[in-house]
Amino acid sequence: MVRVEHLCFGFDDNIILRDITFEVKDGGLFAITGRSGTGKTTLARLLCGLLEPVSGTVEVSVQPRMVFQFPERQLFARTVLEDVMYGPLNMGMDEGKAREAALTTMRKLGLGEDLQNRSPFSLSGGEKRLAAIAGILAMDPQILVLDEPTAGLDAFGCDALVRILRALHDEGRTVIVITHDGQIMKELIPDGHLEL
Amino acid sequence: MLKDINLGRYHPGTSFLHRLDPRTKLVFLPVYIVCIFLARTVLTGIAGFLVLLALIALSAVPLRFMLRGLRTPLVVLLIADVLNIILLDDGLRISVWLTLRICEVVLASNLLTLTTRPGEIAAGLEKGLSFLKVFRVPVHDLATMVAVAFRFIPILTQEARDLMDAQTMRGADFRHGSLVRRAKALGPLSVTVFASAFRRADEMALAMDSRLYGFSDAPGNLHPLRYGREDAAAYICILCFLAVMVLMRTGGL
Repeated sequence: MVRVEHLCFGFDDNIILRDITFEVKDGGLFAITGRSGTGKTTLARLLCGLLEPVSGTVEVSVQPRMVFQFPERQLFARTVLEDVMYGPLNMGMDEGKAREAALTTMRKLGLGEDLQNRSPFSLSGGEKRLAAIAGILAMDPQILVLDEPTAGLDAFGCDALVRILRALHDEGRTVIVITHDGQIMKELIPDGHLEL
Repeated sequence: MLKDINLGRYHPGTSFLHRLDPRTKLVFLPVYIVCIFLARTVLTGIAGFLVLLALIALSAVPLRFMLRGLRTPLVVLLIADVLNIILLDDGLRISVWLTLRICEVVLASNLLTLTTRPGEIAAGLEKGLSFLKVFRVPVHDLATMVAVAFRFIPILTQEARDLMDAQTMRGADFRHGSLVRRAKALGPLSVTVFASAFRRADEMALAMDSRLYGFSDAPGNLHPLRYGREDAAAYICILCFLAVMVLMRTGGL
């Protein structure tokens, strides 16, 4: 569950978010939309505890995990597999279990075995996006926040991503999608929607 | 800590310091640094500090914002101070002077970038060092390199912050645990920051190339520099300050 009440955020005199209130129930599929510069990414960071609100509250049942807009900012390891294993290892899993979690997640997202040992920097834009999502999903998050997940993807990539998001929702995860892509909104059909 | 770095940031405004020609500010900065290192007594130390306070007031940059830029260097300075106090006979006095002087240098350098756009710094450097062209020194390229370097500091610090957030989401902990553990957490971060810096540099070089950078030996200037009355007044003040500090030093003050 994610409950936001009367949330305000800004820097000095620049108020970015004013009196935001919404709730996402466990297992919900929620969309946050709005034009560029309306504070969508800032709101995502507030939901994940990366920023502190000026006033108001953000209440979450478990720690949400965020997939950032630019996958390059998340990928760093020598190989894709090592990169996806990074989160599970940080959670305290041993190497064997982390490898298993990473491989299972990669298979689920359609990241083939041929990509396992490749450098994440050599992947295409769509593959990088999936690798970044895999890095978060391997940690088995119950609340997932995705910031502009379709940015830079072609039509096929978008379709595949929508299928993945729906599957994650069907598994019972809470999925919050931040987007200004009208097409993904039509295809996802979220349970709830906040327009900034 | 990364958000506290002010070097390379521009604080928009129309204050006296903002209006000054960049060459005036570029001359003042090294003169000021020489002056504060000339100071040997409390009196001259206070004089250097008062000049800095006056400049901060003239810049209209909030004092709190300026002082925030001292947090990161102060951490490094405190480590150096502790070592000085332990290892040197006169360590306490040396530490106090060192800390004050470095803080003054940092604040004065921050003032330059906070009140001058990177493009203006480049134009000021190019025009101020144009005499070196006689010796075939590529002044225009050097000035562009300095401007790009200044422009990249806030971009890369912002990017490093974003990367830290991304790694935090994957369970990395930069704030807790032993120094070794935190240093280990920074490993993946440095790889991504370097990769990003090289990618950005490559993209920028291509963008400049496609817009004919280096095509002309004498490229035009969007904002030609002109000295005004305020610059004349500032130069007089700079010379007076230098003269007073030299006289005080030679007079044993």
